[in-house]
Amino acid sequence: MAGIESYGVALPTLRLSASAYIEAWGACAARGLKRKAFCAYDEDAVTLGIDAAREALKRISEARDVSAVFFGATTPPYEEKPSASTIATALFARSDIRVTEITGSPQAGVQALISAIEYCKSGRNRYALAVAADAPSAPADAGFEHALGAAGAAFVVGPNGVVAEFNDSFAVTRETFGSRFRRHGDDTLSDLELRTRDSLASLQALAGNPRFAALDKVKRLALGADAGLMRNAAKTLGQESAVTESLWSVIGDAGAASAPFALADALDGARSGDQILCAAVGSGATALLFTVGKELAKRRRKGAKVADLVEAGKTVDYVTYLKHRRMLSSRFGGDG
Amino acid sequence: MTSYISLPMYSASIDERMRLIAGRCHSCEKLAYPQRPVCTECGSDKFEKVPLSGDATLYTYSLVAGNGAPSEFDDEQTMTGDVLCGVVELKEGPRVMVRLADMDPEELEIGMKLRAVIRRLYDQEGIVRYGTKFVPLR
Repeated sequence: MAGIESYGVALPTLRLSASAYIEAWGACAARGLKRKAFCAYDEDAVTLGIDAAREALKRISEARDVSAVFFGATTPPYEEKPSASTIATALFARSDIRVTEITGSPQAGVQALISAIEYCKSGRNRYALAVAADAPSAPADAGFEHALGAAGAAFVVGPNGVVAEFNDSFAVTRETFGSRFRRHGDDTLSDLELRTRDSLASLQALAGNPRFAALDKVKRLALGADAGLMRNAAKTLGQESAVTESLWSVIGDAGAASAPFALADALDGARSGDQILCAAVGSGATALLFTVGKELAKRRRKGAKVADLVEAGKTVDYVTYLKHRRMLSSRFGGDG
Repeated sequence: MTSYISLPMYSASIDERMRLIAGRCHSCEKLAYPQRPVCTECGSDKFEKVPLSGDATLYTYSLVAGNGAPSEFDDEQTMTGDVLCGVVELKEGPRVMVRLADMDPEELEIGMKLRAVIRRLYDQEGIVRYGTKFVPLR
């Protein structure tokens, strides 16, 4: 059965504590945030994606068989010119590779993963790489900027799913307004902060799907969700007994990489036979269901673990953060 | 690897920059990285392309202090301070001049283990130049 054959993760080295916002602005608008990882001056979604993909590829011997790359990110450096081709060039000698770039939504990382799975299911003995990496940015004087972090996760998908077999997918789509949008040509996110609780409504809609409601209890939930949504997510999804993985409070909002990074964390701690539900939200929600395979324990021995990366890092002050994120640069201001 | 080059030249050497592809001399097997048209050991012009591991040790280093870097690094230097450069000895043998990242100057130690990563080298003419830098081995 198709599924995940290997996975890898990447985090920037730099960290900013929530207390830095309190010192600078009097408060941290990201309630529940402890600290976040953020890109250094020379990092972005592409470099994080390549780093995570190299971690995933070094755990397996089938790397040469990868024939497609799916890249999910909201912050690729170009609106036109595929960054997925930069990633493929950095990873593979072969050029007969299909690349697909999915953007425009915090769901983009999970969408890249399901696209890779469907690519592998549509042909015989196919391998694909799904890369989710992101570093969303917002104006320095916007409260919702306080949560924005960065991360990368990558998955080699193939016909056997020896790390995690793909079982099913679920999706809901809802038209939403005012939360998290970026108009064409804008460098940074906008959010009208209307407090419409769109994300919770998306999970409620997902749970209302009869096929979803009939699911057995899963062992782990891997969610791209902030602290507020996390409080209600497991109950809303009818999975109160699941171990819930969200790294939001310690890495920040990593956009399209949030849910895939949480999935990698779930795989780090899972046992053979565990079921994992990975879900991302954004004008709806997409959830993927996996069953952990027997090779997981062996394959995860090599390479970086999520907990180790989260624990590591170098905390800097707020002005250093602004400089690295180019928020004080008159030349590249705000465009990361 | 460390200073401005034209986009056509960057494009022509993209495999070297992104995947550390070296040339191995057909005659004497000496590795050339960056690749060269002629072997410095035996003069042969026949090479086989081979990927390098990206594992390296720091051979020596230098800090390019305030306003000393080429213009393509102006903004980076204003935002982040000294530019760290070094010569690293790759596991396979070649020594190469590189940019160093993810460390403060006081952490630099000759002989320290490093690994290759892809980073943004600079951003000019609207094009991001990605390439290899070296960071401490974790």
